[in-house]
Amino acid sequence: MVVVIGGGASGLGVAWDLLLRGIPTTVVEQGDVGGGTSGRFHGLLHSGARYVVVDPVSARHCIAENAILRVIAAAAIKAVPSYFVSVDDDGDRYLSPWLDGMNAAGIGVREVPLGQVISAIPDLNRQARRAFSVPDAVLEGFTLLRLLRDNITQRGGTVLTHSQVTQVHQVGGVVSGVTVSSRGAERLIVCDAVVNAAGPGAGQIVPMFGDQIEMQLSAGMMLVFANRRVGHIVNRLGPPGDGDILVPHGRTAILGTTDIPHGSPQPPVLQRQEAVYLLEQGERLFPGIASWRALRAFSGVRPLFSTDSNEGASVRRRIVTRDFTVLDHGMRGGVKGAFTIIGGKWTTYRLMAERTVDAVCRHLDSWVPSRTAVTPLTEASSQGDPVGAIVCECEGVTLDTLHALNGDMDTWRTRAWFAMGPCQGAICLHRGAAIRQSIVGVQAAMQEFLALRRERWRGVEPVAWGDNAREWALTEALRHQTLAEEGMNGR
Amino acid sequence: MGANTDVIVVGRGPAGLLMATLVVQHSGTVTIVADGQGTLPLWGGQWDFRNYADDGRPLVDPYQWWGDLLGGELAWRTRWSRVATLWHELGVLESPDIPNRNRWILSPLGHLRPTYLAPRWQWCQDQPGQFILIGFPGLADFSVQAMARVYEATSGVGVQAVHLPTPPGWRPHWTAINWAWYLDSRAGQEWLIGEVDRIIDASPTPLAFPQVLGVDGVEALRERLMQHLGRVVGEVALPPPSVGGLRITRRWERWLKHRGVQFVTGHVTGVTRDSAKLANGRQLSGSPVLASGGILGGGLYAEPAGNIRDPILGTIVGSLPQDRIGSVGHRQVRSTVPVIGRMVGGWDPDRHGDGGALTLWTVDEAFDAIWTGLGTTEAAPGVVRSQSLRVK
Amino acid sequence: MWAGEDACLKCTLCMSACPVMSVNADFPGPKALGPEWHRRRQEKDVLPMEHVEDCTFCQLCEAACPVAVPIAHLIAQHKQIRRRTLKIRIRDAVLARPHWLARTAGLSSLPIPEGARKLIGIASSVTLPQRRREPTEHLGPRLATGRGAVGVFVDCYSGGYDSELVFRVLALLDLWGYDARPLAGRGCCGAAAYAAGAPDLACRQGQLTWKSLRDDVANVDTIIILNATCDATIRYEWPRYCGIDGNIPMLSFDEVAWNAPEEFWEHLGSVPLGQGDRYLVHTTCRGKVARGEGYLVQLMARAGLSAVPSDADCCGAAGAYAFKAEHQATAHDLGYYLRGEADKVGAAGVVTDSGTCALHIEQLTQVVTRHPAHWLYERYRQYLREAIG
Repeated sequence: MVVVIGGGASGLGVAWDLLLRGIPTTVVEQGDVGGGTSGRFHGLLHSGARYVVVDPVSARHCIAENAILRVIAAAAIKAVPSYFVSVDDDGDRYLSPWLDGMNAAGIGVREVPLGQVISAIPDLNRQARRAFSVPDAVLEGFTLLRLLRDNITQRGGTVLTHSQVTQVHQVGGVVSGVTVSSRGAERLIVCDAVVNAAGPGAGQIVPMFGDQIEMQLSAGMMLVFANRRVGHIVNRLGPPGDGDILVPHGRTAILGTTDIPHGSPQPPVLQRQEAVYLLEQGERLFPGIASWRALRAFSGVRPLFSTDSNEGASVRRRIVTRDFTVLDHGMRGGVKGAFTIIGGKWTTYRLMAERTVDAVCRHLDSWVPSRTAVTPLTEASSQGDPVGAIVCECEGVTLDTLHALNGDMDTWRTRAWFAMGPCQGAICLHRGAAIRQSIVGVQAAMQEFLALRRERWRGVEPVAWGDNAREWALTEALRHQTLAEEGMNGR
Repeated sequence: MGANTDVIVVGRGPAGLLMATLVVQHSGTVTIVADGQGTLPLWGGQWDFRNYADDGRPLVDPYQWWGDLLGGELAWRTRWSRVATLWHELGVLESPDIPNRNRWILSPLGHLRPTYLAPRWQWCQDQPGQFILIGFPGLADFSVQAMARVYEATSGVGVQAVHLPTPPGWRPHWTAINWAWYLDSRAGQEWLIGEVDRIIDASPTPLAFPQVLGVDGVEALRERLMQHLGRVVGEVALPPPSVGGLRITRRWERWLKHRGVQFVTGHVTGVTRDSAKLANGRQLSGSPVLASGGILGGGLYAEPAGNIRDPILGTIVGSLPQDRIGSVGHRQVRSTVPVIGRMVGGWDPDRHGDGGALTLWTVDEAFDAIWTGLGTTEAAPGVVRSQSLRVK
Repeated sequence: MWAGEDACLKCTLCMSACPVMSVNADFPGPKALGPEWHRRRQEKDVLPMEHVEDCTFCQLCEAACPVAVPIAHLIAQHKQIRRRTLKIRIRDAVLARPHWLARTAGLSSLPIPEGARKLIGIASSVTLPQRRREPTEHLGPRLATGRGAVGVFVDCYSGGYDSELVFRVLALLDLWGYDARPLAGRGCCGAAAYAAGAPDLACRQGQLTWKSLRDDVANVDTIIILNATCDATIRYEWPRYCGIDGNIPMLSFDEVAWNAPEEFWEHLGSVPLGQGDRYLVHTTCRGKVARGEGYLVQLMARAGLSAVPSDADCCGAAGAYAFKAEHQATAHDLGYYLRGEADKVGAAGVVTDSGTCALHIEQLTQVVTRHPAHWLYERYRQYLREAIG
């Protein structure tokens, strides 16, 4: 038995890899699956093109994994045309090293006539100079997490949510088990190894392994636009920078990202000035972007890790490798059988898992090769056309769909896109609360409801401008005047 | 076009309509210019005074808060009676008398909420009491079981919930507005009376319906239900599309239209003391009053950097996030051009439930200001005194 | 994307404003058919929704929208991809070209038997337009001179079925001191095609028409448009959706009429109001959206007539909408509202500034329904008869 701490992409990836090698696994996740960084990214399946100059190792990993994921997780990958566009001198100067890097990494690149790109993307900067097609794609994070979780459970693995590892037990310096606290109850899980895949929270787990590491966390803000205004992935050609990518995602489009040092694994409070800065950077690609209907902002914490402590925080974060590191704490003087996987990115989660489990296998002294690259993640059941009364009008979520999901309102959000559309819950959240009452009772349903309302507000508030400010004013008036939703004493 | 009226009201929300009404009642002429429907059809139609104290407690006596402010209780009562008289004339209120206390209405979540003036069709009570909630199929905004549970948990009084079957011709996409139009029809009314009669017991327990009992024919249907079933029948206001506000809008705008008020479609880009300029280059003559709304109505625009701007006056009136979205605004009732119905500094109708008072007070002040400026007029309603044609 | 396309607040004001929803229980409403369907379509190909063609393109949804989402135009795009049988496609192709129908106006006086109507999908009970034959008299000496040269845009309906209206307008304009003539260029503005869910065709028609008008327009101070729907189409669809930016100097008939010499109004005001001379005034939906409401009532009141505004939103005529079998019930129920109003008012006549709307309203109300110019002309004739003898 191996216990994996963290139910994000890398944790579930590790669990899946272990199971395919015949090793029983339990995942311990402190919140919900995808509640951390894996649920907070721009949705890009990297081709590696972004990294060919500054981080060629990552770039090569990306292109290899890109090809693998398109096969094993087809349901979560949406192939859309993807471009790198040079819009200014920065781009032109970068072009030659970038093309060299692309060749070296073996990433297919093809110049596309500008006229063709501009007619396909009318919002694009008309001063654009050159455009290149690359094999980036859209990665639907919540879908892939669901696939991983479903497949893990089908193979006999366990995923414990809202649970934390509070203690690591050892016998003779070797891991023997962990204590898990789950909704107030504690239990002991006997195991031969522990993998720390807690992402930005990894640094807080490591002391339990008798070791210390220094993380270099950075927060990246992204903006979601209410409509899929652009159906293509557009990257700004140049050194990795802020606001240099737009990814169409479902019925929305996401502009990413910023890169700001951050001291905690919890995402920062979103600041309006950061959103405005991101928008300004985005204008280099899309000059009218400030007039697009912004929907919300969100921020993910990158679990970066610098192996060379001399570089420290003074080094520009984007230069720090986006590659990953597997730490074997036993070899660093800590507990044997404890591992930490750190760094990396969504696109390479599978490779990270494979390398981690390789290390675990060496510790267990039973070598079985990884099979994740050749084992497709199967869909539990294909969902037919939604039927029944519509609860969430923006995203067309029906009552039947919500009942079938058998989860809380936040699960509805990540699985069915409930309350994720232009109204951000203004018109539908109270309907959800009524449905939940029949399942969990008045108190619990109202708590879920108010929590989701607050969660939505945190994302909307920093981008409450233009039409989105009007949407929020509507929501505020509705919740106080029509719904009296905080009851009599909550004002 | 190029109409010249005494007053140009910019905006078609409650403040704009009330302003136009006052002018018409004083035999003045009005043009209402707007580039969209006002927000009245988004709400159930109640007018709030001061429903909650600062600490969030519901208030029974709103005069306790507003009595001494802004002219005393008598002044407030005079103000309110203007709305009450008009709404009585429109058939919205049972009587033109104004209440001296808040009453309780029910929210679609099952919470009780105080309100000051509620339309006659609204479910309203002085004390939490028993009633029967009537559930409509597919109406996601009115979940009777959930409402009953919340009501019971918060008021301690048990209520019954019953469900209606689907009528012939029902469609799964029906919202409150489809139901209301259906219940304006003879077939719909017969169906409803028959079904309700069939599913409820013989007690005199009052019935609470969702606010769907017809758009234009609500009085007739409600009257028939009460007579036939021998008990009180009321409605619970729903989120948009909100039929209560729609009923009032239709009646009120018709009332104005039949009194010669001109409705101009246009986007106002600027105003002076005696004119309003439209985006299409045309100009209207008259004394403008801005009832263009707050952030929701579009009378205030929130810029990305956080500035909140009045696009017509060109002034910045606040900034986000320092100001709450519900509380920004400014008071320019007595400056160049009166601004009405908009939240003024620190006044937060979302929080305190006093949007009605805000509208009333600002409209009143603005009316006094411009009417004094214009002097009395002899012109009969509906007659435009002079016209000038400007060829584009 | 069009401006405002992504702005939808989900506030449902468009649904509150939609007249079709008030009479048609199947109609999903403007929010679902416009911004919501369109947003889904940005993600992937989706099928057109049922009943999208029930929209009359009155644009009241768009006018109600607080954030200027081009709702009706999104629905028109939506209609464009709906699937239709060959029979319906042929019928619609003809009905979307009112200028063709106008040229063969004589044909519609031939009776079409029930069976044949069914075969081509034409509403069974609706009256097809007939050519009006009414003499136009000279209105006596001019009341003013030198007011400038104006060209009257002859819309398809007036050109085909109601040329007398054009003559009467010319007589009035002459009386008011304008050097007036019908514009030589002809063609359809595209309103009918746009309403029928063929925006591309509508814009092609508009472009051709503008081409044929352009030279002529240069020779007049302004053009005058009689039909409110054409007026709205030329004002809004042409520049915003069809790329026709002629900066066309144009006025609606009522705007010109309002500026008629004071003497004209004095003459009209001197005619005593007959017993029961009350008129119901219906501002067409497109007129409301493009300009507003109240002008026609003011105009009629100034002419000394007792005028009552109609509260009907859209009469249901909607270009060729009321002629189509599948829309018969909706068109009837929308227009029937005016019958109740006409009865209540005891209307001697109905005033409306669109020929097809007038035809539809007249059929439902059984009250003579005509363009305001007609009523002004008649009133002036009455003045001439009574004052001069």
